[in-house]
Amino acid sequence: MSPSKSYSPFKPLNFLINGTLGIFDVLKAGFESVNILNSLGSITFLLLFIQILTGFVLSFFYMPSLDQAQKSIMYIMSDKIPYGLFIRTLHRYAADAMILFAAAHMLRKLFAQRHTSTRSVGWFVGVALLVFTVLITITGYILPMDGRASEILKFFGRGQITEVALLVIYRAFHIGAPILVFALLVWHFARISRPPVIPTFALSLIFLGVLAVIVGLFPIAGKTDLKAGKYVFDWIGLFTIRLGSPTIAASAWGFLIAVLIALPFFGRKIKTAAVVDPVRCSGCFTCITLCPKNAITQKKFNISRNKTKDVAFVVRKKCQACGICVAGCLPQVIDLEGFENKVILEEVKGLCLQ
Amino acid sequence: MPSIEDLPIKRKIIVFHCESALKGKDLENHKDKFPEVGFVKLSCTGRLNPVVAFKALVEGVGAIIIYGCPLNDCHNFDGNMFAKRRVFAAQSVAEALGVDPERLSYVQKDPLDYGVLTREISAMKRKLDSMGVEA
Repeated sequence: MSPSKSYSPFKPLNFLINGTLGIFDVLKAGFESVNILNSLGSITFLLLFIQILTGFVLSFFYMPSLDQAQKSIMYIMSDKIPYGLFIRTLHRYAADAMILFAAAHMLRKLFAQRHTSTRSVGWFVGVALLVFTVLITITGYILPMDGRASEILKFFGRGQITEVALLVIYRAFHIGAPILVFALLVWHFARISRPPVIPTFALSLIFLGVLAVIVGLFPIAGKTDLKAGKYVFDWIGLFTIRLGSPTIAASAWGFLIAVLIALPFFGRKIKTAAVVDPVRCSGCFTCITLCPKNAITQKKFNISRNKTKDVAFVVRKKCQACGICVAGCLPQVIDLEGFENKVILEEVKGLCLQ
Repeated sequence: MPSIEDLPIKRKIIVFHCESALKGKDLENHKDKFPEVGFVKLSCTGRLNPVVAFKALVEGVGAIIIYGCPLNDCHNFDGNMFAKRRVFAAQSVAEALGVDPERLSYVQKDPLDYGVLTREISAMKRKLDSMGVEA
């Protein structure tokens, strides 16, 4: 250990300097060292945190009632709340960015074929998360009760809503649904070991900086935004509404969800599994500790008429046919259908002779 | 009986690859580009028994590349982590036996990073050149 690596009183400062200097590393190495395309999902998660923080601040001042909603939004955007306009704009733009990054993340995983076989659970949950994100964004546009909100409500076939309906939209769809999103996210992450949930420090700084500059340069215009007909850029969050009639929107969403759910079923492999030879199994159960799916159990095996031993047994339904246990088996008694030990050895020998 | 250090080395490279890391058009392109390289498909890099890799080294294969997915992107939850551990153990065993451990290499890359395997194979060829291996 060199002395320079020992304790330093400026350790937090060092971390900050290293982190900020990491920006230059990212810029220099470009897509070599830190592939930004690999961080699309984690940036979406970062945006969710921005939404929760800004939404928490906005919920102090927002009043979910028909006559107070618009006034309270105007109050947030006035000079009386420090950075009120900035926080509201950030809340709006981060929602749009979240949909874009979620879609980009899905396309990326689709092209890398990360949606098939064992990873399909994460894909299905991801489709549900996309639907929830769009739904929460649409309800967010209703909350100010301005011209655009009445347009959205007309789209859903309701010219006027009651006080209770607004409360339900606010509490259930704009505060309750994000909690459900968190529950789904646990499921979404659980299928991967060590999921890269948080982007690297340098990448987060770059991304937040770019977002802050965009929000600072193009804030939501004060009074004009609340009047009908003069909307700022909103088609990412409201593309469902901008499609025209509810039947077109419903059929488009139905088609999209059907395609997304059907995709993992194309090119599915034939179901295979690992098989234990019970006669030669020594009963060390190394395989039970190795199996990531807990597909291996203990089973009694009759050696003779009145003598049994414990052997490993693969539950065929749970087995994902990865072969981790095959390589880890000390007496080499497990074999994987389709990738047999003998076949691979013969293949290697044949290649060596060439 | 000759020791493992004196065994003849052929100018041959074998790539053990995970079936979800290298497949389809990408695999065909690599096969066309490097006709002298052998490609062995595995269900996951965690399926690889290091004994098979040693068998290939004993048979005279110059270099072995194990090609799998990134650590946090495994289809089978933890297969590539086990592969990494096993390759590391195999490298230390090779060093103890007097075989150059760099003849075994482990590459983890995203399936969309197409150039990585090409670069690794060329690096291995240069390595064999520096060792003085001739065809």
